[in-house]
Amino acid sequence: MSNSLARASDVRGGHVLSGFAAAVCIVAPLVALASLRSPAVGVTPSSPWIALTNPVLRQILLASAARAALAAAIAGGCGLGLGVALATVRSSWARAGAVLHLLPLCLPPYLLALGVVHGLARGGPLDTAVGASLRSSADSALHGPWGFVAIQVLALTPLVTLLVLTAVRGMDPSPVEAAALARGPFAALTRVVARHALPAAGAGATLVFLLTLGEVAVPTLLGVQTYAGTVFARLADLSFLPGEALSRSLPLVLLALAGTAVLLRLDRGGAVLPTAQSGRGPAAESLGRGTVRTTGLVTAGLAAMTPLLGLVWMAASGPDPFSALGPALGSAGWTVLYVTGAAVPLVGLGLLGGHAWARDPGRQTLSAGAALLGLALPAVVLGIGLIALWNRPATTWIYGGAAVVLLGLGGRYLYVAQRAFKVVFDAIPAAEEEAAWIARPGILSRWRWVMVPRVGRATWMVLAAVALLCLRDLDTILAIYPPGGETLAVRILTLEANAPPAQTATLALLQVALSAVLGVAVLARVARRRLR
Amino acid sequence: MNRVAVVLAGVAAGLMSTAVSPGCKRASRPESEQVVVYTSVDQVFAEPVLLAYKQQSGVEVRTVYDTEETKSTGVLNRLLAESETPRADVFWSGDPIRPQILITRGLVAPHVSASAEDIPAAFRAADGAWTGFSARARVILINTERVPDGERPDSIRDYLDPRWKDSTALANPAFGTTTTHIAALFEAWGDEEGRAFLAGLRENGVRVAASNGEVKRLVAAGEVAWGVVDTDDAAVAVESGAPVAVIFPDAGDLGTLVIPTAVVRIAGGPNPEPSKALVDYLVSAEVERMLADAACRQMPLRAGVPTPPGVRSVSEIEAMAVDYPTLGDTVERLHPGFVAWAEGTGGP
Repeated sequence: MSNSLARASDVRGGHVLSGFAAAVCIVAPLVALASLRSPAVGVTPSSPWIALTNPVLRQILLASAARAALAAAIAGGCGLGLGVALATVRSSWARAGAVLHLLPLCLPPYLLALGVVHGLARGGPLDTAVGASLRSSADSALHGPWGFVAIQVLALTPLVTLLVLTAVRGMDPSPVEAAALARGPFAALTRVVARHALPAAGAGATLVFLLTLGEVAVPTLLGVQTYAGTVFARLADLSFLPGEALSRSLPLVLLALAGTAVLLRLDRGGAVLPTAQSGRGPAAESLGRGTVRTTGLVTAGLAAMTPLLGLVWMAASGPDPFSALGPALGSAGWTVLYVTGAAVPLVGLGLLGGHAWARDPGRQTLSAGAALLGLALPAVVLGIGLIALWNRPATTWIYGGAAVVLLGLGGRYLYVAQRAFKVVFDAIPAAEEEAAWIARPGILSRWRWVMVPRVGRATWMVLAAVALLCLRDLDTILAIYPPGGETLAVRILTLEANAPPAQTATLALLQVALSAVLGVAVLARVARRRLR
Repeated sequence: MNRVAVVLAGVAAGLMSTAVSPGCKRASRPESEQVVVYTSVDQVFAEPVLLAYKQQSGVEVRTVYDTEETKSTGVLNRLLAESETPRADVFWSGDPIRPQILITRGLVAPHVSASAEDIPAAFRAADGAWTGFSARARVILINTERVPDGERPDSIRDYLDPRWKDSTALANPAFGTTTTHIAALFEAWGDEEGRAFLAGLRENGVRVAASNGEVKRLVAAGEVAWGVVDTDDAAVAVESGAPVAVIFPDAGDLGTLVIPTAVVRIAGGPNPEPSKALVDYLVSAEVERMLADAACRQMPLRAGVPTPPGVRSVSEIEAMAVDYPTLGDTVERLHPGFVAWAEGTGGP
């Protein structure tokens, strides 16, 4: 079926568009970066295999991978339990706990680290709670690998929870109900529901691994040496070696490709994200009262609030915290504009590119690989590449303004948007579309009457996801934002060093509020559509 | 069609966001009304100065700030990457070394500022390539609860003293003012002793922190007994009420390293005339006083600029003898080795 669709002009056009976007936003900047001459003197760029041949770098890479694996394992385990719990209980407490638990996913992890750091700072609420005897050991534990892993788990477990929730909601309820009747609710949950959700948890853990491996801001704040940090160091001002930074990125790229292979394998047959033939998920009534599950969700929600409480405490304990808001309003405005300007085109590209990937997967290899590269590379590598490519007199209109930021965000999150829509279109039987293709050969009428009604709700969800990713982005924008056009997240980072902590915390809470408003707006929109 | 309309509206919003971007504003704004500044001075201290200039002159100031932890990917990096088509008019650096990198590469347009005439000659180039003003110094910040009165360190060499094993911190020498400081030590002692010093830091368990701000936090929290930071970090720690004290090291020996902030005009910048006016303003006594009064408590280079209690002017301390352009060359020579030392993959 899909073979005939592959001839459709919108599918072919989708491939072309997807390839063009990846070429402009990702491949061309990387080529420009590789051709930049280094102004450093006395340094011979190392081999692209330096990470594997240099024992110290190899050790840093292994340690970084081990930390990322640990974070992935913990987040995978916790997310599996919480996702199953969220999908199988119907209590308002559980929902409230889940909302709080999911909130950190919408925030730059750097803010969470800041909240915990300041919560533990001398005089902070956690510091007061643990007392002087434990202060030093708690502080040492936080400012090190364990603290880094803890922050990543807090920030990224919701990703696993969401994937598990989706998988469980899409499963056939009858084996669960049968198991509950025969062996009891606990056995049904552990042996049927959790087992069914394992691929989703595995996929989530894989994403946590990759995101942790590429994270730079949190380990820098916590004083943890990471492999991604060594890539950054090769873009250090006095040792500006962009070509070597690119070659050092190679292991991260290879790991990202391996991670994608794992994701694709786990998702075979819609095991991670349900297909159109999927069920409605198990009925909560058949699985008992769910007190333990509700308690788990509430506990996770409270844990997620810890860094935010640290920020609130920090904001409330300093003098005149609101004085930071006035000068930051411009940054908040730029944040909203960049997010809108990047997310809407990304959804359009995702819609067309993802459709092409789904209907003619044989031709997606190059564009998907390039898009994945944009996501997997340290963002600053892409940023410097964008400078190298667009900072020319003829392209001032791009580099001199917000357009370069939109290109950066586009390159960074193109894969997410297209991959999300591929999953959405995979869930729509190709036969439906082919019938429409025969009945309504015009592209516009087919999209109008067949495609758009099927993906309307998903479009909102993808828009929200991409917008939240752009909202929480720090590393991409930091390298390329136009003078005077800093985002709120960038402003928080640039002020953090020596600004009064109360003012930094107030700005961090403003960022939290922006994320919450976006999340609530989308949830309200989706809920309204469901009620219709 | 409702959904289509919504998507189209979104696209329109996206395009509008591009249309009202800073760059587009810049394109429509007359040259005399704006100036673009890249600065590695902490935003919390630089922003009020630039806002004051904007209010005084009516000139729009567009700024890219650096951050404490990400100086590795900061504004000098961006200036170098943009060197073919400069976007900045002025680089206000937190130290005089990074401007030397630009000067060496011919990326700077000299400007002899009349307002800098009373700044000591050691802190500015005669041809106007760079001009230093309001300085920081590298000082020892001690935790008074961990360091008894009679045992206070008074020299950078105390990092190697076994009695401080595993109880001191230093910011990563690959970044920021610590690069300048360690390079200055190499220059004063020679490469061999400098390398021995770096090796000694490792042997004595000196904690390498991400930034001076992190060293300040470690000392203030009592996690380490002491560390070397900049005077602005120290001032913030003192102001916060933490149990800390400040020592100007190496009196009677090398002297304390003084690091003036420095300003250069970027050659080929889009707003050449306004950039001169901004440089004149930044190097003025008025700005030195503003920065002395600010939380960073920076030290005026000029004699006679009033300072608040507790803030010394540079003339009041025993400063290390440094030729900043030469030090710039040294930094550039040694920096790759500092990066390798910090990674553990080599050394200078």
